[in-house]
Amino acid sequence: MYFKLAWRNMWRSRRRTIITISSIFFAMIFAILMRVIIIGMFDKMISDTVSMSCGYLQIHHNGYWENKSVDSTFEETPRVTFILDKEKEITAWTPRLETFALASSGERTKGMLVIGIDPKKENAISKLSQKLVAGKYLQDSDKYILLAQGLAEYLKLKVNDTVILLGQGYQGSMAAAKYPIKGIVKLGIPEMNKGMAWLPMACARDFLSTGARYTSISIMVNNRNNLAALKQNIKRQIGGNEYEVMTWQEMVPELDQLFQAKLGQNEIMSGVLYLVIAFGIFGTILMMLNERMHEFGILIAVGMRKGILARVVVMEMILMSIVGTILGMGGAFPIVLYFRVHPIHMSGVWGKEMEQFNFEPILQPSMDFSNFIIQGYAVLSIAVLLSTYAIYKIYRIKAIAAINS
Amino acid sequence: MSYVIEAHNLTKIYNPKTIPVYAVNGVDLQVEEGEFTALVGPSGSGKTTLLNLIGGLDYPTTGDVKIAGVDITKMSENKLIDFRLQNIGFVFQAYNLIPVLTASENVEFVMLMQKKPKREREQHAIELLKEVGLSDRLNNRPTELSGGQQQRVAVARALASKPRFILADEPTANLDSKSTENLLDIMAKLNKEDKMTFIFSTHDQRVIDKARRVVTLVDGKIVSDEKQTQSS
Repeated sequence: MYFKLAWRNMWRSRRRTIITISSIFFAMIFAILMRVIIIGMFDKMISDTVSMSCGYLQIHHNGYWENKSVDSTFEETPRVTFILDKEKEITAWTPRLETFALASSGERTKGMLVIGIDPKKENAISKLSQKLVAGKYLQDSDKYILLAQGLAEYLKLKVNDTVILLGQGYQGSMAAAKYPIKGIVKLGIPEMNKGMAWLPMACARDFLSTGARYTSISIMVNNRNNLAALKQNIKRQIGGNEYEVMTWQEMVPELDQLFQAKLGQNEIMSGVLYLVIAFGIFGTILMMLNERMHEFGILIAVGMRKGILARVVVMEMILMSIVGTILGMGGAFPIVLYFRVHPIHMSGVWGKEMEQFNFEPILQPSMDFSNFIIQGYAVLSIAVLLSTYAIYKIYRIKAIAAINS
Repeated sequence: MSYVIEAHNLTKIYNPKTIPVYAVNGVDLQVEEGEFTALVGPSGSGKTTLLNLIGGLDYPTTGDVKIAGVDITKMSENKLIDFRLQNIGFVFQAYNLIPVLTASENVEFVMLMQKKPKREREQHAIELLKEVGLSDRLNNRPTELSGGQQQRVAVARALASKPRFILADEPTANLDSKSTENLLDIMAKLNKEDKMTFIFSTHDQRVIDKARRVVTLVDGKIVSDEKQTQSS
């Protein structure tokens, strides 16, 4: 009956309850949208970055990450690949042979990252074939190269043209070769789009004279929030000091820091919205206490303990917040879903600004429901926190003074 | 003789440090079980304050109140709330039912706080509302009831906890003649048949006529205490 009492009391002042619930509803929608857009932007950026470069986790020769030299490579080892194949948390992995080289065509030359790949495995991770804007994707036996669109444009090259690569090979050898272009891919992250190229693994090994060696194995996972445990697990299974396992946060800390900073900014904005909610709830509490003081006096007079009375009042506040929260989540969900399916392609100044920060100028919200839940918890916490004022006032009630009020 | 209520040298002073007002001034009062007592007197004579002190809603400045031998003026606030719940029924001038609950839920509410099982609560609430002539109004909310009906629900609520006595502060003040008559008949019947003790403050001559004992207060003091035979 206490629940029934709280629920019915909540609707006693219908208009006020609707106003309070509406403030929670709209603030929830805005808070959720802000959060899922920021998270979505970074999810995409992190996912694009790690899939094209280091992976969520990477195994490489101990010390490779310090100097990124092809001398710090390691030989193919079935033991490591066996461990990776049986780990359920790993969705895909691919070996890579990476080096920096100069790409040249005609009068133009540009420094870039050239990556030797296993075309099938690479495609499972970075979906390179889906990013083709011209030509075809690589095959294992090809002696072709794939260029990023920005690089191709800079070098004024198109499919079937030839690009000359110049770099340093294994153990100080000279690396020089020319490859016809099989395809051109467009990458979402502008910086990557201006300076990447891919060769089939055999070609890259030939170019760098490394023999059957890799620089790294990039790993993609189911849940990127569980990387630390997975890293330890893989490290323990591999054992020894020959290999190093690193997470993406360790390899590209600036990306993680940017993510955390943006999340912090978003939380400040959310804080403003929470303040709106807090004022709405607190106003309701104040008016409710004022209007019902006489009734509280009567309830205490007929034998209702203050603790029970406080519980009913807190229940009222929490119910109101739950209704607002659920409606807010329900209202936000179709909007988030729509923009997930139809992402906003930013153009003009906004788009350019995003590109400057190395974001692909696309706003595609995250569908991770935990972002909805977090906002719900925040609103409920506010309601509980503010209800302590009602509890305080109820415990100070003198029955006779309240009855006479 | 054992008394349900014993008040000794009861005094309540408002503004004791500035301009003291003696709302109740050295009152001694004993009430036996089964009494039907009216507290009468002009406005400001201290009737309501005396009822509040007897009912444990307020603490006296001096003196004590014993309910069935237990001194309630020494009790903590929480113990007093529990004591009221188990021993005292209240009927207020303005009915003061919980507006969002139905008649039967209002009656059940007191029993809920006594932690009685749901089935017992429901059954007892129906019996009580039948007793006050509202068996056809069980599921009506207070706003759907007349003033007289609301006050009868309030009486049923006061009875629900099976108290030792019921305190009623001007119970007929907001009622028309017919509703007053009806309510008085119910209270008199409960007093006669169930030996329920009633103490009420009133200005209403019809109520005074029904009382078997009339205590008159003036300026916080008892000036007369008379037993009378009922006309009906």
